[in-house]
Amino acid sequence: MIDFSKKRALIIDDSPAMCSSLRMTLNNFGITRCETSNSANEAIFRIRQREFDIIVCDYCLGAGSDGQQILEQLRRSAMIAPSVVFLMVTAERDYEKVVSCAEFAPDDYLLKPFTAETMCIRLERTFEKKTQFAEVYRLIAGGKAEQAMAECDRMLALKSRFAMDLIRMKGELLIALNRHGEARKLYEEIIAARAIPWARLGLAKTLSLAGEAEAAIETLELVIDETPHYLEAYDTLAKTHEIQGNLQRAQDVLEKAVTVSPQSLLRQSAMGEIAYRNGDLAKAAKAFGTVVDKGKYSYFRNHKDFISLSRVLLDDGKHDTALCTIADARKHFDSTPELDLASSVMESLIHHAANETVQSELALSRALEIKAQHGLSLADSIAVDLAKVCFLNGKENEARELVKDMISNFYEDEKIQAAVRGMLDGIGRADESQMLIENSINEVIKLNNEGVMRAKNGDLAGSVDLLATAARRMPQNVQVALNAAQALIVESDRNGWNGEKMQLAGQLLANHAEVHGSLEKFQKISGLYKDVQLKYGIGQ
Amino acid sequence: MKPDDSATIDLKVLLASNIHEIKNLLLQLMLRLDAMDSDSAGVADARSLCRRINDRMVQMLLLDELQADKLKLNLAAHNPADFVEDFVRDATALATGRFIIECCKKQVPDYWFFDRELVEMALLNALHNALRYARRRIVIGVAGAANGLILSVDDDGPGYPPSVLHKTVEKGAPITKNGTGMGLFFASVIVEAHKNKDRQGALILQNKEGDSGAVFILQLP
Repeated sequence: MIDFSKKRALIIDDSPAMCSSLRMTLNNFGITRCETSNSANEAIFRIRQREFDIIVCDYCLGAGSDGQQILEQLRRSAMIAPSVVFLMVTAERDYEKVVSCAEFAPDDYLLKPFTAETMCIRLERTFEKKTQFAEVYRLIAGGKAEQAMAECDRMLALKSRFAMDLIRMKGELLIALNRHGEARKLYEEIIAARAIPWARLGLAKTLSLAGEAEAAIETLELVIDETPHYLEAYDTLAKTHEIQGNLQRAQDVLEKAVTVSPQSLLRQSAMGEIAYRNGDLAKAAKAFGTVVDKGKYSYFRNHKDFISLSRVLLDDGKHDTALCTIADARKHFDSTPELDLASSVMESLIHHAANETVQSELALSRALEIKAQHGLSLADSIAVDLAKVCFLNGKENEARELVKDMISNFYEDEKIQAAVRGMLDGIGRADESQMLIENSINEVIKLNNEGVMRAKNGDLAGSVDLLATAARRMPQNVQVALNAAQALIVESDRNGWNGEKMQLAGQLLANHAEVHGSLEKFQKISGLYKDVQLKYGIGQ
Repeated sequence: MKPDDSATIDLKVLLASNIHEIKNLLLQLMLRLDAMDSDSAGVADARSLCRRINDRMVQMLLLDELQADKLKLNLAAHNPADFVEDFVRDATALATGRFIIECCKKQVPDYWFFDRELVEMALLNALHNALRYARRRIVIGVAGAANGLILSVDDDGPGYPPSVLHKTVEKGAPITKNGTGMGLFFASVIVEAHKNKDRQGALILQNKEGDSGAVFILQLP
C-alpha cells in the first residue's frame, strides 16, 4: 500500500463541480494537499509554482485546449519530472486511440464514469511503476543511456509486470544510441505478435537510421494509412523526406498532419518553416500566423514564431504588417538579448526594403551592438538575416565574417550552406557565394587537418594550441571539438595531469553530448577521457 | 425557431454533448456514493443501481456503433494478471461481503493485446450474473493457453439454464424484453471482435458437473 498522505495533487477540470468531486475522492485516499485548476493556463501557473506528485486532468477542457496538449507540453518541456503521475480522465472511449498514437501518453487514463475504487487501484499501480522505474529515469536524466538500458534488461529478466513499458523504453534507448540493428529486432518481435502502431513507427525509425529511406517511407505511409491520427508518424515521415531532399513532399506530409491536429503549434511552426523554404509564402504566413495567434496567451509561446511570421510578410512585400508583428513580439515577451537582436535584425531588413535607409542603419547598429555585448551564438536563420542586412547596408566585412563563422561552425550542415547560398543569391552576390562558402569550409578543414597532422608528427603542444583555438572559434563544430578534446586528453595522458586542459576537454565533450553523444567517435573520446581521469585517480 | 433553422443545428453534436454530460453527472454521483459509509445496505444498493445505469448506457452506445457497423476495438498491450487483480478488487467492493471472491492465475503471459474497457465490460456483465445466482463463492480466472488468453468467471450457483447453454449465442441468446441475455450478447460481440491473424475470440458458456455452478469464459486470441 502506498502512503498517499505525503502526496500533493493537482486536479485540472473546467467544471468546478467535477473538481470538487475528484478532490473529495482523493481526500478519501488520504491525499489532503490537493489543488484545483479550471483552465490549462491556471494549471501551468500552479505547476510552475510548486511540485506535484499527482496530476489528474480531464481530457476535454473546453475552448481550444485539451488534456493531451497540456500533458505533451508539460512532458516535452520537462516541466514535470518523469516521476510525476499524470492521470487522464475522459468520457470518450475514443481517447484510447489518442493514447495509442501519442508521443507522450499519460501514465494511465480513466473512462468516465468510474468508481473511487478503480481510481485508487490505478493510482497505486502507477506509483508502483514509478518506483520500479525510478532508477531508469535517474540514469536517463544523467545521460547514461547504456546503463539505463542494462537496467531495463535486468528488470525484464525479473519478469516485471511492466514488461511492455520496459520493452518500449528499451527500443527508444537503442534508437537514441544509434544501435538500430538491435532496435529493429526488438520492434520486429513485437510486430510479429501484433502490428501495434508505436512498434511500426519504431521500426521505421530504425530503417531510416540504417539508411533504408525507401523502406522507412513505405512503413510510415502504411502506419499513417491505418492510424491517420498518429502525428508522430507524420513528423518522422516529413523528416525522412527532408533528409532525402524532398522538401515539397515533406511539406505535403506536414500539411496533412496540421489538418489532423490544428492545435499542435509546434507542428504548425515546423510546417511554416518548410513552406517558407519551399517559397510557399502564403502557406508559411498562414501557419506562422496561426501559431502567433493561438499561442499569444500560452506559456509555451516562442518569440521565434513572431520573427518567422515577420520574415514571411517581409518577403511578401507587406512591410507594415511585418513591422507590426515585430512590435507585437516586443510587447508580448520580456526583453531578452536574443529577442532584441532578432527584432532589430528584422526591423533593419524591413526598413531597408521600404527604402528607409536611416532607420535601417540605426536598427542594424543596435543589432551589432547587442551581438558584440552578449556574444550570442545565433539561431541559424537570424544569423543569415544579420549577414544579409550587413551586406545590404554596406557593412561587407562584418557580413563576410558572419558568413565565415556560420559556415565554419556548421560546415557539415547542408541546410545552413543552402540558406547562406540562397541569401547571397537573393541579394545579387551569387558570384561571391561559391568562393565565400568554399573558402570558409577549406579553412576549417585545413585548420583541423593541420592540428591532427601536428599531433601525428609528435608536435602535441602545437596541435593542442591550434585545435583548442579552432574549437573556441567554432563552438558548434563537432569534429573540431572532438579532435581538440582528444588532443587535450592525450596531452595529459602522456605528459602528466593538466587540470585546466582536462576541464576544457570535459567541457567540449559536454557541449556536444546531447546532440552527438551517440557518435562512435564521441564515445571513444569520452571513454578515453574517463580512462585518463582514472589513471590519475581523479573521477566522479 | 423557424423550421429552417433546425437544419443548422447538428443533432449529432447535441447528442454527443448530452451523453458527455450524463457521464459527468454519473461520475459525480458515483464518487459521492463511494465517499459514503460503505456498510449501509442502502448505499450499496444505490451504488449497484448506478453501475447498472452506466452499463446500460455503455451498451446503448455500443449498440449505436454496432448499428452503424463501426465497432472498433482499441487494442493495446495490458498486463493480464494486473487486469484481473484490479477487476477482483473492484468486484470485492461490489460484493460488499456477501460473497467470497477469489482470483485464480495460471501461466499468465506478461502482456496481451486487448481492449481493456470492453473486455472489462463483458466480464462485469458476467459478474453481475454471478452476483445474482452464486451461493457463496465466485472465482475470477486468468490463464495463458495455446488458443489465447482465457478469462473466466466461475460461480457456485445453479448454472445456466438449458435454453442459454444450448443455443449458440451468435444466433441470438434469448434476450427477453426486460433485457436478460443482453449481457451475454454483448460479451459475444466484444470477444468475437477480437481477432489476431486468422483466429477469432470466442465466448464459451459451461456448467460444472452436476449443475454445481456456471462458468463464463472469454477466449482472446
